This record gives sequence, C-alpha cells and structure tokens, in this order.
Amino acid sequence: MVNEFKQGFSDYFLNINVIINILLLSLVYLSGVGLTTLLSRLLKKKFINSKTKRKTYWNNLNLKKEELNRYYRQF
Amino acid sequence: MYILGISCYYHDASAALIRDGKIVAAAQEERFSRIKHDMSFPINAVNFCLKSLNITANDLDYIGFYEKPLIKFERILFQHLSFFPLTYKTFLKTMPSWINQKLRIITNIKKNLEYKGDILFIQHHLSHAASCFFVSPFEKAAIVTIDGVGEWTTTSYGKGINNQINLLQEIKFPSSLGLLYSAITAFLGFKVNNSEYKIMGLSSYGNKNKKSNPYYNYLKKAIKIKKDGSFKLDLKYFKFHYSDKMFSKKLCDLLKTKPRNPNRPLSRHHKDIAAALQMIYEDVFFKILNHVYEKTLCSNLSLAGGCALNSVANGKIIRKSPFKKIWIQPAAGDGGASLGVAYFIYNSILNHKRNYVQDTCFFGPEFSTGQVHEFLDKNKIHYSKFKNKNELLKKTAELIYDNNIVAWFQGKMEWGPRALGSRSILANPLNPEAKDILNNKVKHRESFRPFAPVVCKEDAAEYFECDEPLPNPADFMLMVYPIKKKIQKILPSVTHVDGTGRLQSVSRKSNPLFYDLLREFEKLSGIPILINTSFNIRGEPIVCTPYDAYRCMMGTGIDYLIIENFLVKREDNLQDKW
Repeated sequence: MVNEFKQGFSDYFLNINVIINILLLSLVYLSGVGLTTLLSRLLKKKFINSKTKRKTYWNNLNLKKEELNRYYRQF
Repeated sequence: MYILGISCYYHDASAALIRDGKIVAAAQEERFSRIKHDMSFPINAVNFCLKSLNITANDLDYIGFYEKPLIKFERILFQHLSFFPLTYKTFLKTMPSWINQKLRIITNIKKNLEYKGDILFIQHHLSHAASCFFVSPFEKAAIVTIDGVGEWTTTSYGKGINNQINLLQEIKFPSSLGLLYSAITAFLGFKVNNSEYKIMGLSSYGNKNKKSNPYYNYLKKAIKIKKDGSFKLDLKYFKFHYSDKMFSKKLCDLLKTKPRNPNRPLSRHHKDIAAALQMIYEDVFFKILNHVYEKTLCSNLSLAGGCALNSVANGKIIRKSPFKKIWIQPAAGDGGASLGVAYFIYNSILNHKRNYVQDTCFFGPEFSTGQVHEFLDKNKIHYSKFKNKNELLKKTAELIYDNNIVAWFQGKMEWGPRALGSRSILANPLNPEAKDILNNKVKHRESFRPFAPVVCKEDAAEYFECDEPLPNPADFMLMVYPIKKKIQKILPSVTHVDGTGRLQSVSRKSNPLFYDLLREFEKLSGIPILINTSFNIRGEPIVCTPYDAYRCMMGTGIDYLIIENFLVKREDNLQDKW
C-alpha cells in the first residue's frame, strides 16, 4: 500500500516535471529561436550553406595538429 | 603512459585504452548493457578497460572525447534557426539530453569516473581519421572518412605521414552519403543507424543495370554529384535536417512508390531501390577516391567512418581506384572513434612515434577456464571438459561437419560490429540447408541476408576472386568478393544471390585456435571454410559473458556451445530455467 502510494506520488511529479519542461522549452524555442530566426530572415542571414551553383562542393578544411590548449576546448 | 578514449551520446558508445601507444582494451557499451547500439555514457566499457590493467581513472594521463560537443551544438542550433518552426518537436525531444548530458560531458566524465586529470576534445572526423591511420601498417597514406555527420563534416579526406594527419577538405552537413543511405533505409522500412548493412545486402537482389533500373535515375535527382566526387543532397526530398523523420513526401513522389511498411514483404521494386542506392553510393565513393588520389598521390588508403563498413564497395576499391593497398578500421563507425581519439592524443598531440599496427581486433573481455568452470558449476549446467586442444578442435569440427549449429566462445571479445571467431556461431557451409537452419533455429533474420564464409588466409584466392595479395581488411570481414563459379555450387549457404561472399580471412598468427579449427574441418570436408555468423539473436548485441552465451544458446536452437575448454549440449540442460 505504502509502496503503491510512493509510486503514484513519484509518477505524478514525473508528469509535472515533463509538463514544466515542455512549457519552458516551448518558451525558449518561441522567444529564443523564433525571434533570432525572424531577425536573421530580415537580415538574409543563412545558417546552413545551400548554394547550389558551385564548381565543387568540397570545402577547404586544413585540419591538422594544433596547440595543446586548443584541445581542452569543446569548440 | 595511459590514454583512454571515449565516444558516446550519439550511437555505439565505446571506450578504448592504450598504453604507450599499444591497444590494451577496447569495447562497446552495448555488449555490457545488452542494449543494441547503446549511446549512454560507457561506464561499463570504461570500467572493463581500467580493470584489465588494474588501474583507476586517476592513473590515466589523458582522457579524450571523440568530438567537439559545442561545435555539434552550434550545428543543431543552426538547424533550428534555419528551419523554424518545423523543428519544434525535435527541439523538445533533443534539448533535455543536450542540457543534461552532452553539454556537461566534462562533469559527467569526472563524476562517473572520479577523474581529476585532463580531458581533450578532438574533432569527430579527425578521430575517425586517427582510428584508421595511426594503427595502419602505412607510414604514409591517403585518408578518407565518410559517415552520417559529426560536428559539421560528413565526408573528409587528407593525408597521413608518420605521426601527423592533415585533413585537407570536407563536405558539410546537410549533404551526407551516410544520411542518404539512412534515408533510403528508412524508406524501405528498416531501422536507421542499425540496418543500413541490410540494404547493402538487399541491393544484390535488385537490378544493377543503370539504364534499366528506373530508380537509379529517379534517385540521382536527389543528389548532385560533381566529377571530383563532391556532392550535394537536394533537401526537398529529405526531412532529417529538421525532424526525426528521414525523408519527405517528395521522395515518395520521386520514386513513384510508397514507403515500405516494415511488416509487409519486400517486393521487386524495393530491391531495385536498394540496388539503385548502392550504385549511387559507389558512383560517389569511387569519384571521391579518384579525386583523393589525385590530390594526395599516395597509393595507400586508410578508410573509416560508418560508410567504411560498406563491404560491397570496399571489395571493389583495388579494381576501381588507383589505390594499391587499403586498411580499414574494423570498428569503422562511431564506436571506433574512441580508439581514434586516444591515438590522436598519443601520436599527434604528444608527438610520440608510431609503434603499433592493429592486425587483430580481440580487445574485449575474456574469461579464464576457471571462471567458466565456476559459472557452469554454480548454475548446475551439464557439460563435459576437453582433455586438450586437439580433442576440442576434432570434436568441434565433427559437430559442425554433422550439420550441428555450434556456438564458439573463446578468448577476448571482438572490437567492432563483426564476430570474427571469438563470439561466433559456426555451421557447415557444404550443407545447402544451413542458411535456413540457422535462420529457423537461431537468427530469425530476414531471409535475403547472406551468411559470411570464414576461410584460411592462404586459401582465399582458391575460392574467391579476390585481390592478391588479399587486403588486410578481409581479416575483419570488410570486403565482399565474387565466389569462384565452380565453388558457388559447393557452398550455396555462403553464396549471395549475385555470387559474392563477405569473406573473413584468418591467419594462424591472428587467431591460432580458430585457424586450426578451419584446418581440422578441412580434414573432414576438404575445404577450409566455415559459416561464421555473430553469436547473438536478432535485436540483441553479440554475447559478452558466459552467462550471455549460455542464455543465448538456451533461448535458441543452437545445438552445442564450445566455451573455452568445455562442451555444453543444449539438450542435456533444462530449457525452462533460462
């Protein structure tokens, strides 16, 4: 009986958690992503390269050994 | 010096430990968690690696992570910004894991491993490149990496010389050969990031004539291919860039057919679509290889990334490209990137000379005779013990020759997606019904999928129309070659519909026990070839422990289990218990 009550209580808060997450993420999506998108469209900024008329689709990379401290970064 | 590489949070999480430039232990998390393609933090794989040397995380000099999470996050955000509001559902679905796990990778590593040392982050494709060059036999090689997507890169190439790599050019997301392959995999009713190799197998059943297969020309409209092998996907046919679906309605219109329901049988046109996809993949792949050769002028090729598991295309490299020698990382997918990051730190960043060539893939857990004995006794399993190695080999060869299905559990578990003679199911290739027996009794897999033949290396050219000398990747079941016509009739169970076989070659040096078994089987049958398929059942990872092995046998129709020095007969044991 006690365990069932605990399980029900836990499920209830899990559902509340999911609902709050959805609400907060929706808010971030609409305000953060939405407004930035609006602004970028006004400024004609492209985030993903979609040029079709190119001689080649290879992009120069030249990725090789760098200074050690650059590998501590996540970017 | 100890370096641990980790890859996780996308698919196929894994860990690899190297000591002074040599691989000590490496395994995928799925083998321990028993969740196929497990993407979670590979705590079990890491613990196994550390335990194999009796060290703790704080004995490690460095931990390397296989990609740059913030650059990947930038790409995800740019996708949301580019395709707002279509990405709403994906945003809700993926953001919690980014916030809780992926962006907290340093905290997660330190907390999970109680580690206080340095953590380095290497770009995804550089990790792949390192995984196939630093452990290759080449001092100098052209390097090609092709997969779904890393941070931004989907395809890259460059050059490796001694202990340095320079990736020269890349193709960026959303243009991706891996994602094209996955999109068609989904269209044909199979699981993405899991069943791409099935489509490769299915392609052999389709029409391989570019002129008469209509789907080849339809599908070519979805990808623009330049002479130099660079390519661009026409995004109107796809959805992966803004949703968790892979293809759009327009792809159905383009192919003039509906997506296949996974529960419906495969039709002629599904096979033709698979063939068209494989032909397009090969068109691009060989153009890339020719371009890479022109730019690097190296006759050695190192290959990695998930697409390097396309063994049908791999088998044609020597014939269709200027490359003379090839080496492919057996764990070519993201699982292998943990090994790559460890080697990049050791060889490139720390500037150590290369001192190791990966000629085997047995880096996983092993169980001593004592441990297996204890397991069998503890669980009251009926078994018999072989007196010596000769008896083990002779009895096993006899059982296989008598058309029994034999599970083979010996030594260290394999690294990479293939079972190569440590955790294998073996059967008699001379038996025309072996394929059906294996499918009905054990594997329960799609009937169109072939089983692989394993052959003694020095005899491969007698049975297969393979490159000579046989490239090393054949040791890892990464090359498909035509089976000689006169042999096809003798070995129907391993001959695919187009007369090819995905052979695995075995040398005595790399796996003496398995090699000797092939020779013992040859004494009975006249051929040094066996059917080798992975020791698992459909939907489960390959077995890791004696418990997994015994459970798998009792849940299927495997007749015998040869586990280290012991022989277990399924009929002698109670099935209900398992």
